[in-house]
Amino acid sequence: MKYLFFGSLLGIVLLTGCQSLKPPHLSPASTGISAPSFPLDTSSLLPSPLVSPAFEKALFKATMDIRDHHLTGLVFVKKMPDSGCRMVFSNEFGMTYFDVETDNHHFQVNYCFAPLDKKMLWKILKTDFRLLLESGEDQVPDDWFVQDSTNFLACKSRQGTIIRWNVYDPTETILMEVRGKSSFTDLARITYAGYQNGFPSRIKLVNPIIKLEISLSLISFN
Amino acid sequence: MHKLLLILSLMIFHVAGAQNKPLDAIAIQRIKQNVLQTAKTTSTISSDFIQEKEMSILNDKIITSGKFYFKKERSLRWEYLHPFSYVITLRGDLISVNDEGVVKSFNTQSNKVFSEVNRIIIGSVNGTLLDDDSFIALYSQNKDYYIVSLTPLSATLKENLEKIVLFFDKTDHTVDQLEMFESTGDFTRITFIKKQLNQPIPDEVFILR
Repeated sequence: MKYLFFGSLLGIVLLTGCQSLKPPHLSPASTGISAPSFPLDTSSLLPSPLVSPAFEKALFKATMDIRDHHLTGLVFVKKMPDSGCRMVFSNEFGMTYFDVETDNHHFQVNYCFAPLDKKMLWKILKTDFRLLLESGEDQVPDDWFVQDSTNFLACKSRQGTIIRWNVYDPTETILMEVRGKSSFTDLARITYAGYQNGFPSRIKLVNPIIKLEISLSLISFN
Repeated sequence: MHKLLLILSLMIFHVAGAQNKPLDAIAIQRIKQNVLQTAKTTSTISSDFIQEKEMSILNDKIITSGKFYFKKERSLRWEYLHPFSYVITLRGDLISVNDEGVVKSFNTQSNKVFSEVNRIIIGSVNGTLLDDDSFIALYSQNKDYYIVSLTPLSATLKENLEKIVLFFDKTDHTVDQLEMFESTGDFTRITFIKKQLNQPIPDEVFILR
C-alpha cells in the first residue's frame, strides 16, 4: 500500500514535470534569426493588458471549469488606487464566487464561497491570478528569444518566486501569451486573443495540473 | 453611551418604520395563503427582467436585462439580452448554458451554489420560499408591496447570503422584485416587468441544443 502511494506520487511528479513552461521553438534573439523588428523598444511591452496605464476596469462573461465543477457568470476587474488590481467573479444572479486583490506584491482573497475555499487550491490559484493581474514591476527579463514558427518575441523573467515567460507579437507590440509557475503544481498558461483597441476580447487561463480552465469574454472595458 | 445607542436605534427603527410597516400575525397568515394559492394556480410565468448588481468596489452598478421563463415544476430559462447574449436553463437537475452558440450542459451537483440559487429564484418567483424552513421570514408592507425579508438559517448559505428581500404585488401576489444581500456587502436587485401568468410556454424553451 505504501509503495502504491509513493508510486502514485512519483507518477504525478514525473507527469507534471513533463509540462513544459518554456514556449516551444525558441531561438536566442541575439542570433537575429528571422526577428522582424528586433532590437525593439521592449519598454513599451506590458506584462498584462490588465495593468496597462490606460486600463481602469473591465467586465467579462466568464466560465471556470475545475475538475468536475463548472461555474459560469461575470468577472469584473478593476485597477485600484494603489495601482493594484481587484477581480470579482460572481454567478449570473449576482452572488459572488470569489473576490481577490493584489497590489503587485501581496495577493489576498477578500472573499471565497465555501465550496472553493480550500487552502491548497488557493496556493495554486494565487500564482495563476498573479500572472494575470500583476504588473510584475520588479521583473527584469533575463533574455529575449524569437519563436521560429510565429516570429513572436519571448522573454523569461522572475516575478517574486514565479518564473514567468511572456510572448509578444512584436508587430503589434501586444502580449499573446504568459506562462508561469512557482512550483510544479501551479503551472499556468494564459492566452490573449481578439485584440480590439489594444485590449484582448478573449483571455483564457489554463492550469493543466489541477485541470483548471478560466475563459473570459470581454463585455466592456475602459 | 448605552443611551446614545438606544436613541440611535430608535431613530433608525422610526425611519425604517416610516417606510415599511410591520404586519400582524393575521395579516401575515393572509399574505402567505394568498401567495401560496397564487403559486398553486400558476403553471407558467414569463417576464422581462432588469438585474442590477452593486459591488463595494464599483461606483456604478452592473446592469443586465433579458427574458425570464418559468414552468412548473422546475423549468427555468434565464436569457440575457443586454449588454450580452447568454442563455441559461434549468430542467430538473440539468443546467444548460448557451454562450454565443456554444451549448454546455452539466448537473446541478457540479455547482451546488448555483443549484441553491436556482432553488431560491424559483422559490421566490413562485412564492414557495415563504414556506421554506431554511429561512426566517420577516413581513412588512409599504404602499405598493408586501415585503418579506428572508434570512437563511443554514451556515453554508449564510456564508454567501445575508438575506433575500421579496416584494410581492399587492393585487396579484406575485413577486415584482427580489433583492439579495451578500455577506460581502454586495447587493443584487432583480426586477420583473411585463409579467404574464399561465400563458402556454412550449417545453422547447427550456431545452438548449
